Amino acid sequence: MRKSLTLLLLVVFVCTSSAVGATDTLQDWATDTENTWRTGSGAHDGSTTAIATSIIGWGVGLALVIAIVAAVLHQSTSGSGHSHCHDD
Amino acid sequence: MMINCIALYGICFFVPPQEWEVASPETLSPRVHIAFVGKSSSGLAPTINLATEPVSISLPAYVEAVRKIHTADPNAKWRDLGRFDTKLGPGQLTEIEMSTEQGKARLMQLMVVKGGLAYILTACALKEEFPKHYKLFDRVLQSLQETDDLVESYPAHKRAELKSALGALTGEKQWAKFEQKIIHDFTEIGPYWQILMLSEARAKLLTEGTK
Repeated sequence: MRKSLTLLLLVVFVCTSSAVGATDTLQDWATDTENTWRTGSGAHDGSTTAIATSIIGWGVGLALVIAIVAAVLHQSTSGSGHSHCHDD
Repeated sequence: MMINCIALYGICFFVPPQEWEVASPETLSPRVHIAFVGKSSSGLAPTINLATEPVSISLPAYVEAVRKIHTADPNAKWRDLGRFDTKLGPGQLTEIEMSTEQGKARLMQLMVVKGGLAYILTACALKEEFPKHYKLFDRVLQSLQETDDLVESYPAHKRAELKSALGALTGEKQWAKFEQKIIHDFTEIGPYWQILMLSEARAKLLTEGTK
């Protein structure tokens, strides 16, 4: 009886450890895949924006861009007390 | 539009061609900070933009990841043009050709990896018109630089005036005057520097106002 109980506990322990290990491995794999998939997205964004802005073919005045930046800064400052950047 | 964060990354900027307009911020992809558009009589206007991406890999590994993305696109032709040194550090220059409804586009993409960030400067024009813009694009790519202090990055002969203007900016009342001064009197290194300078000054003003 005691032997059976020990064996059962051992089996449960081994199964639990492998399940935890598998979850960790799966998470690592997911992170690696995510990183691999995402790497290069800055260059990809650069080329898609280049084509899009080339097709549109016009821009806006500097004053308007500054007004937009000022509005964004104002919102972030009044909302949180400090501004966050690189909102990617 | 993303705003450079001085505390985390330093400030990276480039000097765009004179007279080019700033592309509307709504047209930019998520990782693109700013884009400039030139005039063209054809269907595709010349453009240049700056994007960044947080990375934990080297420049060759990043270029390889980008190569895989572009070579997987049957509509694009990618080639490595070799090393290209910038004020920011050593970079890699690549070329992409893509078909669009307006004709074949040629893109020149400069990539630099520094301090956990990939900086990507992309120039684009109609393939047939590209040789006409080559010198201009080369000058813009060469101008890519990083600074911890926007004031110090401005040509020395105007730095004292700039410091004085910043010193006089003590509240909301002086903002309009300061803004006009930056737009009209500090044009030597282009509108991207002006936008960054105004963003930084505005953020400082608002932060001090909330204290």
